[in-house]
Amino acid sequence: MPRHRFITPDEQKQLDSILRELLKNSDAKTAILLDHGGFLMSTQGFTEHIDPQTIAVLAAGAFSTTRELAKMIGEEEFTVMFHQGRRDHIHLSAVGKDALLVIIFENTTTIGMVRLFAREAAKKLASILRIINQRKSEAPMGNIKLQQ
Amino acid sequence: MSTVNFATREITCKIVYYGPGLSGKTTNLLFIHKKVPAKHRSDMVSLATDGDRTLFFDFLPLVTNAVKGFSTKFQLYTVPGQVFYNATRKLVLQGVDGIVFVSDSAWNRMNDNHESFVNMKENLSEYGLTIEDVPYVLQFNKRDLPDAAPVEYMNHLLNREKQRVPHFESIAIRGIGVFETLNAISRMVLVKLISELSQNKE
Amino acid sequence: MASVKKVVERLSQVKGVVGSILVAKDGLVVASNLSVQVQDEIVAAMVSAVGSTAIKATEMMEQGELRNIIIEGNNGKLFLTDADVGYLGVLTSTEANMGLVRLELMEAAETLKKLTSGAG
Ligand SMILES: Nc1nc2c(ncn2[C@@H]2O[C@H](COP(=O)(O)OP(=O)(O)OP(=O)(O)O)[C@@H](O)[C@H]2O)c(=O)[nH]1
Ligand SMILES: [Mg+2]
Repeated sequence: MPRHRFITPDEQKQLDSILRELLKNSDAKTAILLDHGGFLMSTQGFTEHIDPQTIAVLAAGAFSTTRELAKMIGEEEFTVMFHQGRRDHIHLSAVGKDALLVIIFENTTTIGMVRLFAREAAKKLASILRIINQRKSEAPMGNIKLQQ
Repeated sequence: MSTVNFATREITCKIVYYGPGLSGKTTNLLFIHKKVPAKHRSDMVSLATDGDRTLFFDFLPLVTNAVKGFSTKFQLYTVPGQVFYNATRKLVLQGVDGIVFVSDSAWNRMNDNHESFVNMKENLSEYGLTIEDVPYVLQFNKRDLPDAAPVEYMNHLLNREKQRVPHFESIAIRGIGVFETLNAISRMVLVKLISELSQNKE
Repeated sequence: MASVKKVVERLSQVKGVVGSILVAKDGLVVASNLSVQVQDEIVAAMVSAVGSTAIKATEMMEQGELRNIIIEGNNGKLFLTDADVGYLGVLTSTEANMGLVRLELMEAAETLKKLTSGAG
């Protein structure tokens, strides 16, 4: 993993639009892209009454805990987690090696539908993240300065 | 790992408060949460046991204007200090950019302080990091205790790596030294980020 | 462009069809439009069991790739086909025109394949 990560406006647009497409196709409510450390990379859809940053941090925690559990029982990795509520459900899945996708949906769609399009989105997201992660920070930083 | 987002003009860094159980890590974050105006922070999330001991982590996001033209976010985490929570402690260190090592000044906690410091180095090494890779500062907390160990002794115990680091005396329950510590580590993290970026440009 | 849900729903509007369902190969419902008497989950489990057995059977008997499955009962029929992302099925009444239903089913499966070509 690189020490630092740079996201260009163009890459951000692509990430955002993949999540929007996913929401449209799957009829889900909210989609959040984050890395294993809980860094938010994109949030799309309905975000009233929820705090995406907190969700991201907790999801990353849940995922890393589950991953450790998997290791302990000799399982490679659990790639999907699903939490079923009465009305709202959460689908959590791996995107490439170091990112996660959180999808919140209601009973208007199905877990099967969400999973289907989450897979499609994950593939596209992973290829963009690969480019981002391979960047050796020849980033257009201009002259970043500390505020006095 | 810091993230620099040129679309949203945001820099995000992760700072972890490490140290033995009951040394005052959560107390640091609680004070920061209380003092920072709501528009510069979100709510604090604590995954704790019934007895207020940290089980997984505390999390407090801050937004500052430390870097010109960017909104600079610091994500503050604490680890659970209790020895048997090492699995989760290790997870919290993932992607860390800076560490505040909070030690307990009570004489009878010197062993725990030292053990926790060694444990931190072990856990960093699991991510391929050494203590030289990550900016950190020492906080000697609970200076109000009548049996507080002398600062020289605590430096001798904990500040003995190749690179000596800044130390701060604090009384976290009264907020003394809390922001001094935070300001120092956040500056160190940003200075390192900026210097690494300018190096890479060559 | 049509959504997966719409494609499945539209199948139910074909004359003689009383319900339609898309089931992932492991048995999870993706989309369904069944009458309340038959439960989605039960149909889904049956569909995926029948589908996987049929695929294996056609393969082992060297009949090539599975095109569709028809199960006939006294009260109606179940038509199934493989839509890559899962099994697409329709339940019909006895009066349904088999040719028409089959045609619509295959066409819907093709549409689904296009809609989900990136997934799976
Ligand atoms: N006397 C004194 N007590 C303090 C000080 N700072 C924190 N405490 C107390 O120490 C106890 C433990 O503090 P916490 O902040 O919960 O400790 P922690 O490091 O988060 O502990 P773990 O979550 O178990 O790792 C609490 O009762 C605090 O009130 C201090 O400066 N002086
Ligand atoms: Mg704590």
